[in-house]
Amino acid sequence: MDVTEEQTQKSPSRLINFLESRRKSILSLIFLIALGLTISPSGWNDSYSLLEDSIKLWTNATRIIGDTIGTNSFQLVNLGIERFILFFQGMYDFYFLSLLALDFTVFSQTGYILSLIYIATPFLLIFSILRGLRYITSGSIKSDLTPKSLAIIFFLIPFPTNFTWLGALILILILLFWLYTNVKEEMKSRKGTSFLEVLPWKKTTFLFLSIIVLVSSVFDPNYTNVLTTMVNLDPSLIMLILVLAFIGISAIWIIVHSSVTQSPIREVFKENVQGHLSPINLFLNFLLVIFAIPLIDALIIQGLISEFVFVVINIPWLLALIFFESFAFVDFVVAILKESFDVLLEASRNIFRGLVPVSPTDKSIIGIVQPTIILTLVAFVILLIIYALFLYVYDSRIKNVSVNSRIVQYKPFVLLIIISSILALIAYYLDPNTFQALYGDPYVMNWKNDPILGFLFPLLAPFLLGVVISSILVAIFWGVLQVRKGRSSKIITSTIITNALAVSIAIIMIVPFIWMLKNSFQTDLQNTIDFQSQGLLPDPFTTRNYAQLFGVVEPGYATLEYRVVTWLFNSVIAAGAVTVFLVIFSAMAGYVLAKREFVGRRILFTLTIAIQMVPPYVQVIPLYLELDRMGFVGSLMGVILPFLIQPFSIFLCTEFMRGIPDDYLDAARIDGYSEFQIFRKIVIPLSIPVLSVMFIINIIGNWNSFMWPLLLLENSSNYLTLRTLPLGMYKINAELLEQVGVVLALATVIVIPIFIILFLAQDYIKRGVSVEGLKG
Amino acid sequence: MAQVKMKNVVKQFSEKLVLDNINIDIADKELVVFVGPSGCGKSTAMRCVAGLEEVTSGMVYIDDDVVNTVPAKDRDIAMVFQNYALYPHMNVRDNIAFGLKARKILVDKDDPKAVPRKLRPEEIEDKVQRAANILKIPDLLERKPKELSGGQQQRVAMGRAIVREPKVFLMDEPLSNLDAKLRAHMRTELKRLQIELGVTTIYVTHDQAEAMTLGDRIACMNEGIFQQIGTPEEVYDKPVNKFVAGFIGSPAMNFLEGKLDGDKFVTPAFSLNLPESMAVKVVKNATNPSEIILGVRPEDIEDREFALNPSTANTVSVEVMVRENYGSDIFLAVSVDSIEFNARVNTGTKARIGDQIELAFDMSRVHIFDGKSEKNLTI
Repeated sequence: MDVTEEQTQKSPSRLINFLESRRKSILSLIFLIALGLTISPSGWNDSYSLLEDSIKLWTNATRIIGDTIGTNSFQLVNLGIERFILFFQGMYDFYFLSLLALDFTVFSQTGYILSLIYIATPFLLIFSILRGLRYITSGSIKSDLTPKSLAIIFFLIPFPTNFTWLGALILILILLFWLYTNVKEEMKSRKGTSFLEVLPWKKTTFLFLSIIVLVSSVFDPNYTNVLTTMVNLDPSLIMLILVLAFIGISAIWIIVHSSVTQSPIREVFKENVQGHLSPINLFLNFLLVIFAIPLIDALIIQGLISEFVFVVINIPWLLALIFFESFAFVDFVVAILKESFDVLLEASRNIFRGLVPVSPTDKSIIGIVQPTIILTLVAFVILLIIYALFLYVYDSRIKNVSVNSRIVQYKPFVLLIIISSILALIAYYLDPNTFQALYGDPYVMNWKNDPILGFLFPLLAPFLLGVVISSILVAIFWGVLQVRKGRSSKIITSTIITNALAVSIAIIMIVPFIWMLKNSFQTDLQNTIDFQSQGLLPDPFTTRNYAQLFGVVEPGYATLEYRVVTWLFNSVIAAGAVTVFLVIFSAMAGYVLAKREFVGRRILFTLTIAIQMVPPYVQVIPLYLELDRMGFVGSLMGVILPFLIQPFSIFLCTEFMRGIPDDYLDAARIDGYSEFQIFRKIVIPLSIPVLSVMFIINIIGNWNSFMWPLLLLENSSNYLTLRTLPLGMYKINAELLEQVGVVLALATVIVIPIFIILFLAQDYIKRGVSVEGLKG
Repeated sequence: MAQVKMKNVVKQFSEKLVLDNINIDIADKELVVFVGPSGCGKSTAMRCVAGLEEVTSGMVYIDDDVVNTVPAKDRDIAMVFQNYALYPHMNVRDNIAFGLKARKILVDKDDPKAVPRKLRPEEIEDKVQRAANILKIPDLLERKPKELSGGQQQRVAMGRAIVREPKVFLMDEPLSNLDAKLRAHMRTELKRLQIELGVTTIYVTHDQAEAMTLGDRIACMNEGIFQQIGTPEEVYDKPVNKFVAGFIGSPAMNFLEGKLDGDKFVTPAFSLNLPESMAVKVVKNATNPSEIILGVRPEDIEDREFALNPSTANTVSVEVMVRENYGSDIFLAVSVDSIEFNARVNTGTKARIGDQIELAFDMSRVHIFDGKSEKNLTI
């Protein structure tokens, strides 16, 4: 009896614990369920096709990148080898055609440095041959014949395209040798273990995959598309088979391992999987999947395998190219960088179009979710209440908690319920269908005809007046009371006057924003009226401007070209990328300048400060020319790249990080952390105040940046898809003189993200500013 | 399990010679205190062992391995800093566990097949709990360092060191940020802990009382050189030179300049009879017998009334200038003509400020130092 009671007591408490510890995820799950429940079958079909399209877009983009990298590196490696062979040809000519003929003009013809290298090379060759001979005769060659040294020698031999098969063959042999020595050593170090136990399964899988690839490339006479043509299967299917094979091999390995070590399968699984389950690991694996699989697909399964093999076995000659043709190499790197960025950006831009509609006919997540949002919120509130009740019942059964702590515990629930209800009301009220039903127009509300709103809204002006008067009265009353209590009347008067001044200045400052917000909800006709006679509230109230902005309704002018969603995306990418990388780079540079000892540190720091004195407008023309030569004009990369490093931020970081005691870093060093880990785990957390200020300042600056995007993006052929929001604002303002409401709606859209960021980060800003102030 | 050895270690900061050819051999499980005035290089010596500073020349050994080129993180040592270096953004638990999360260690020491690996979260938690229990701070684990008192912070810093189970502990003036009472308490705790854990420890301090009470051996340091290395008794009773004699002991030893006349130590104001063996040694070793310094600790000077064997040969008549009552003893600052020195006398003394009294020297316990080389001539 007792036992069963204990069990029944125990199980709900465990459940409760689980529910409490995972409260946030459970709430999000509930919301998603509520969302999913209300979406119609056709909506689900739409979202499936959206997902499919997005995956296709992404795979295509990564495949294009893979292809570019593949073909480009093939050509480059080839070029490298050619240049290498040319070098020896030149040397041959140098010695046998010119020097033997006693033609000494050859020195000036080939160039003195090259002549010197030509002269030195034979000596170097003879020297290394002699060294090698001595090595062989000394007898220690057998112990030095490790896979590593073999691989180094292997990679130092250039294999031209006709001899790829030979290189591949040797590579296979080296790989097998490597696996063999690996297993042998393992077995030696752990006596009494079986062969299967020590077999490194990841390495083995990798080895067999490479052997398959290499063999197929060797046996294909045309060196193209081997895997696909050989097995005659769809590439996606091959990819799927590979992934499945990987899972299958892992499963087999776990089973074998458990039978050999005689530990239960569950234990083996736990031991090998547990380490990989941290969020960061999962995220990295996710990245690996979305980037690596299409890349493998592009390079190996659909691409030119022989090219891939050729590049792998000749990879050092890519470096040889740096020596012979450094410009070609830099060009290659820049081109890869730019093209990959543009391709990825284009793909994500199109995927983003699946989230937000661009034209009224677009299929999009918003289009799917929008009709169901009211139902979702209502369902969410109901589920939330049920969940809270459930928790409450179990709570009161198990714990003896006071009423007070219970209120504290359920406060977030109540808040969430209230917020969701309000959101549901707003969603319901702003829904075009409701508007249609209530006012006969999907976007315009004539609130004067509404019995309730028509009564309430005109009361707003007197209400505001009342607020002003009563606050003045309250202030005076408070002052009198304080003076009666014995505080100095001078101080009280000055307090009241300062606060009143501050409040009135704040009101003056905020009026333009209110005006912007108000006029964005007015019709075009209303907006043409003189400001003073417009009234306090938009009459009629309309959401059409926003609907038009986001492409839900057709614009009044068919010729206008505006794609706010795309521009929003561009702005987010440009401002986000610049700010994130700028903060990271500044923190790194600041740490190095503040805490690491190296030659030239002071000069570097002085230069950093000196660069701040160059006015930015002086840099415009040289920077533009430079970016133009690199091919970055007409690409978002050009807007991002020049601003990744900012002297002022580096200076700020350096000064802040100087204040971090060295003992923190020494302690971590002794505890076994590497320099980068110290930076990440100690310096960054301790620098949060300054980093957050930098983040906010820069994100605002970049979000609003106008001149540089105008210079770089506006003249390109596809300027429409490249504009950022401020640029778009500039163009729309010029084109849409009759529709001020739409322009102001766009202005509101530009302001809102900044407003949200400032609102969320106000604590950090205060802290950061005070820290800066203290440091003076 | 670990000895530490420093052999001919030299450390130079650009032009300045900080460590001048120092040698020390620290045995396993021993606690050696590096003591000396500030700026004498004792912290630098420790940082050389830790690997935070590179030695200019010489060898540092841990366990017979030369560790000169081994980075700090691979030396398997733990260090307690003067300001504790507790990370303000982590709570106590994370602070203690911090050192465990970094490296791979050999966990299952009995298993021959075992390879070094990172600790699992539950193992870390277990170790942290154990360390917290040893230091009696298990209820502080969730707090941030800011919310702790000085003594508690000190314990957490210790916890961070002991949880690693290192080969060597290095402690850089760990108690100097505490108030006097707590310092005495923590001193005892530290000693108990070190004996309990049996880890080789180097302890740096400028406080000679800490050095005397804590150390198995004391390495007294000045101007980048170990002046004397020995047990507290040795260093106290047989200081090799004037510096060690003056630095160890509180209040400090009195130094009286004078010359040797037969077996008499003669100052301008008075003379004292030296034991015969001492006089012989002085004559034999001194560079110049007419330029010597007599060192005598205040506790070896007593009021004549309470002295064990007063005689005219070791008694001096002095004038009392200052009288400090410590309850257990009375300290007198006295003068004869222009020669001033301190004495620790029995509480029964009738001496008042301005009185003329007679003080007796315990001549078997005095030291004679060479006037030039400042070496102790009597050992």
